[in-house]
Amino acid sequence: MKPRENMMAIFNREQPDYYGDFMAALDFAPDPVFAADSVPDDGLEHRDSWGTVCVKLPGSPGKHPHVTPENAVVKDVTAWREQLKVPALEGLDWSAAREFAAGADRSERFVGLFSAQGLFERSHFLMGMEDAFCAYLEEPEEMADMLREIADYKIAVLREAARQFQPDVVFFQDDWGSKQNLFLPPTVWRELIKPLHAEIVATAHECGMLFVHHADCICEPIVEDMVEIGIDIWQGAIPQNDLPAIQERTGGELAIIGGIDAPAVDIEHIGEEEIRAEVRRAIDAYCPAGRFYPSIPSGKCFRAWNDAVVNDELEKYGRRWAREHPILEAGQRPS
Amino acid sequence: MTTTEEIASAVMRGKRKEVGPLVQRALDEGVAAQAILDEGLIAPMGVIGDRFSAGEAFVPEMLVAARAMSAGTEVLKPHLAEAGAEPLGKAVIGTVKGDMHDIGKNLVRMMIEGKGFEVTDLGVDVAPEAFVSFLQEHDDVDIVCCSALLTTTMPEIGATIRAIEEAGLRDKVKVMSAAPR
Repeated sequence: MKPRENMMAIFNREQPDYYGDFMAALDFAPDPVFAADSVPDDGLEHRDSWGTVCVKLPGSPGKHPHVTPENAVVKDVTAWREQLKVPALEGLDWSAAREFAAGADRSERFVGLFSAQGLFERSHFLMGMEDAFCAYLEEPEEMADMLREIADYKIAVLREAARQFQPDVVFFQDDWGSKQNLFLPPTVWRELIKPLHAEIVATAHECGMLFVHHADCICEPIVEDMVEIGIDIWQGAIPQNDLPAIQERTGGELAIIGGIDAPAVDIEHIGEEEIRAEVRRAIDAYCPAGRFYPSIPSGKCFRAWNDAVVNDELEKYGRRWAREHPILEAGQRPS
Repeated sequence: MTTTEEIASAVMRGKRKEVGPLVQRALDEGVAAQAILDEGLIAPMGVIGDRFSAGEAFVPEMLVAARAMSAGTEVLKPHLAEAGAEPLGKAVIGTVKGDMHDIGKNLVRMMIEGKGFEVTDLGVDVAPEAFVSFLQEHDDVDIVCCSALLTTTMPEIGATIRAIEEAGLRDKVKVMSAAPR
């Protein structure tokens, strides 16, 4: 099976050759929206395309906002209309993305769009986390209007990307919580984020994209909502969520990527067998329910040796597990 | 409902604009500043803190409550000083080098200020040398509070403690830290 076929087999509850990270079958096209929003990998402060001061440390997986009361783009949520300037989509050069997509073998691998900073993340990138959190509770109408503006932009990007290079998958990043809980109370998330996020997911589907939502945090209180609004795959499921309970509660409708406890294996002086045991634990615990892709929730270990061990065990045990636990077709008996 | 109870209710609901005037009203009614602090401001934070620990309250709810409590303590401060209340001690707080996540740090600052400590906030991304310099310039500091959210910046807590040790200041201060679990 080609990587894409293997991942779709898991998605469709068919027999795969192996269980592994869905993301390993996905290549992101170099799109100009993501490029314009990125900052150099030099550990210094730069403004992204929305004006947020960010820092990206060399070798880190992504930029971090460095918002202070002085440099915040939106200093007062009641004045966001004057303070927020949404990046222009006109005049961007999509040729590299088009060329990349034209040269890709889509039978082999997925072509992806990386959509960084969803509604929630963008709101705190613009205001700083503390002020954004307070604004969600203190000025919900203003927040709703500002989120509407951000959602319209995200929807326009999806439509334009579809027109330019037809991604198979959108990897949409919006970390809604921490390792302990959701950031927003679920009632607030449902009122302010969910309806707009549903529109974004629906747009991706209209444009023929699979919707992979990245949130490497607790999402347990809202997993039924995630199914309801049509999220196809939740990427970044940390094991601090009760994943078997979530698989049961959602009836398998939410395919899941993640499960390996990264902070437990991505540390100095850990034994190789300890890392391998954690990979096997994740596969044994979460693959039986089906539609599960074992992986490091944040994508990869920061430490190269640890990452290599994780991937080696995923390859070996993920393949063995698939072989030893065949998905039987209706009427078929185990041999 | 007494005015002190109204203050506690406003703190619980995070109504910071209501808290200052309510504290002033309680003072005008002759309620002792310390009683307003203990029963009106600190007690409801304890309740919401317990709810947070149980996963029933969320960070924004803690934040708006802590900001409301802060609004009340600002009104109370001169009255507490007038009543002869001394600060319980002095603390310096900051997130460690490379870490820019300051919500937890800010919450802790507000909480220990509310408890009666005088707190200097060095902000985010504070190098070990900066903590040491501050301690060298302020020999009456009792507590150093170091905060880190990321596993990648957690070792900086150790680096800060070692720098304080090397500067010969470790016996003069308690170090309080919070890191990912």
